[in-house]
Amino acid sequence: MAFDCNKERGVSSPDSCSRICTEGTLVQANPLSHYWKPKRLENFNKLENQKSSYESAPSGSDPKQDAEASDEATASLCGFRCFTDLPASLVCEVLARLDAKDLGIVSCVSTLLHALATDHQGWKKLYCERWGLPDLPTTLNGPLLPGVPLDGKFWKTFFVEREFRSKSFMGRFNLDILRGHNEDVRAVSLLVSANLIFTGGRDSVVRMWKMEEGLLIDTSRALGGTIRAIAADSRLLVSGGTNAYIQCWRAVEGNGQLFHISGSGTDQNAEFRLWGHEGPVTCLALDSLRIYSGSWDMTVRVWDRDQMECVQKFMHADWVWDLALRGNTVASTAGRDAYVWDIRAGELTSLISNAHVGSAYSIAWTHLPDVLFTGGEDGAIRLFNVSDVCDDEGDIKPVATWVPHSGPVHSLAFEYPWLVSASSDGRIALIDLRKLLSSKSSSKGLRVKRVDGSAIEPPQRMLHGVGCDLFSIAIGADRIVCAGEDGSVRVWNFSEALEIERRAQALRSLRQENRIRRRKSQAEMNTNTRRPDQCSIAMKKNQLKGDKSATWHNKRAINEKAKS
Amino acid sequence: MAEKKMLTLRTSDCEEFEVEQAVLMKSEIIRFMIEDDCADNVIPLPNVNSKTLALVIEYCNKHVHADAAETTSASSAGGGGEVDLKKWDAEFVKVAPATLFDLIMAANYLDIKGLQGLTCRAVVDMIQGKSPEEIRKTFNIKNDLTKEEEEAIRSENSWAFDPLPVRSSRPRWLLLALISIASLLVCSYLLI
Repeated sequence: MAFDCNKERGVSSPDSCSRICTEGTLVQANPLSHYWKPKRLENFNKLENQKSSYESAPSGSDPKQDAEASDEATASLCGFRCFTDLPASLVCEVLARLDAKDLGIVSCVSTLLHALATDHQGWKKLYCERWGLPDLPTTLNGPLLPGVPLDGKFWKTFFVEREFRSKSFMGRFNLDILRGHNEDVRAVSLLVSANLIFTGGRDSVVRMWKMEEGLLIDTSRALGGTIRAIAADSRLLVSGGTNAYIQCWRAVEGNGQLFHISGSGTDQNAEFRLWGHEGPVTCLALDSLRIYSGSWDMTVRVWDRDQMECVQKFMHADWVWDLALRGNTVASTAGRDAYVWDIRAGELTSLISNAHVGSAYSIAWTHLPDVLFTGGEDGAIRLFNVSDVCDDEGDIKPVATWVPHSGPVHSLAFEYPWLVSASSDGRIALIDLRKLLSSKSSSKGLRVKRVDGSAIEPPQRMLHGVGCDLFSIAIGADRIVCAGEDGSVRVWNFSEALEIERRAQALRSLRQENRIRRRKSQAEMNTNTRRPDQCSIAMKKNQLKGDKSATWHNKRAINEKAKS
Repeated sequence: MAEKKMLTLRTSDCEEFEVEQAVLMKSEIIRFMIEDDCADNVIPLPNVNSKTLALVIEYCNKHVHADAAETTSASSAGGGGEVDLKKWDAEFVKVAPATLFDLIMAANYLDIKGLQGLTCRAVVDMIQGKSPEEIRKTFNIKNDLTKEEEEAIRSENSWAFDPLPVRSSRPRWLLLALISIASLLVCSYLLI
């Protein structure tokens, strides 16, 4: 056959069977492969017998119209008259382009679509697109993420749980206050996988707290100067401040709390410093290979974690206030501008001039490439799409602006779909971005996201009652951690919000049922006994009450006369 | 001027199409055959009928000529040609679902990436924002789920239909109490 020559090249012949394909590449499909029977389908034979009743009107010689005319001969050969008649690989190719909500709806259509739409890999992609790989507690030497989730749940279940939990930030919370710092706290970091909170401030010590219990478990020695930035992952903890160096602690094997920050451990290699900045270190970030630091010396430096040396330096025109990391891209704010740097190429890819009136103090990436937030001295939060150059001058204009604060926005944190901001007005704003960041198919056929400027909503929630400047904020594990001027660290815990709401709903429905039951029984009693109206009997029995009511009316009449 | 090289394609219903080689280079599978000198005779396409192939050739023709025009003319630097092509693509996939499925199948079989993406995207657009009943109606899918199965699947995917309304931290009874107090005050004022 003419196709045989392609086998060497790896091109499938038409005889090759189709298979479920969710990773984006298409598989050549056998014309008979729509008889493929997926596992877990009990009544799949119903689907095989399914015949389409779609009829199209016959028409003229136009090939497009001709194609729509029904033709018995061609229908028998390759007539895909129904979506589920297509090979599984092609159905999956379509499903891979749907967003989560539509995928959930499609799985309710038929047995086959339910089986295909519940496939793990598509959901894994959707999950990782929004939240990255799930934070699972792992041993230091163990794999970062096993092939199968630890509890054997499907990725769809992971996704649905996480999506469901994201609503908890609109529910009720418990407020925990962690006290220990003597002066204002400038930096907080949340390490969800290890259940830890790290804080640092003007008292020049780093403190480590248990997230669940709110207990202080370790305190570093005084590092000198104000600590302005902290970042952590399961292998490294870094802090930086006005002393212009970066203090680093390596995770200690076999230690339940990961880090020995007090320095009392015997391992001297667990602690080291990185020197290079000529001014206070204001911001830090980590990935698996590098450490990123920004400073008032107007640079962002990239450090190799293994060699412990600076490998790249990005120059800015003003003091660097904050930086945010996404893949191989670093976004930073310096002065009133925001910069986007490509780490691999080592060059500036985008510049947002005059992002704010006054300094741009904070920056955060969304889950989408090219879409970021900045917070500034003017109390505004702005959303930018750095791939959109709006005018002839090449300026990037904000897609959306919120002004929820009356003071400077010192810190931003994002976890899909919530953006949280901390300001010197002592308030925290929560903005839900589900409507704003909607999905759309691109011209290349990939599922991409676009920013819908018409869907801008005010902040969904404001958390009040702090009454002091807030300098740093973090979000994760259904918690918002925030710290400020008064030296206390506040943890808004929403982890029980959904459970409380479920209980409240159950109580409401129970009350409703009882009410209906009472009404029914009362109605039955009335119809059975045919008793006269109880009120009229009471009126006849108790003449005094009748007189009282008459007196009341008279009194009112007198009052009205007096008024007139 | 050199004569354009033509290739012959034979469909499942034994119709033959003579097409320019340049046009057929859009198909990866045919391109490999041409490069390996396997395309001298008639190329059989047992999985594609004549009506679908006519549409596939129309698509390839349009895109090959559009690409050629883009490279030669300087006027397309403004991106006008690309906009026209997108409009044409949008119109091209406005066909009956059955025809669309045949196109998806043919695009996959012939490995035409652009057409694969276009047709799959057209199906996605037909699915988006619809309820399961509307999807069944659009694509003529028989509901082979029993009532029990459907209820179970619906509850499993309830988050996609009706998300749980979570109230804010201010209890509703407090609001009701305030309203009732205010109404009592108003009533008492009116009565006095």
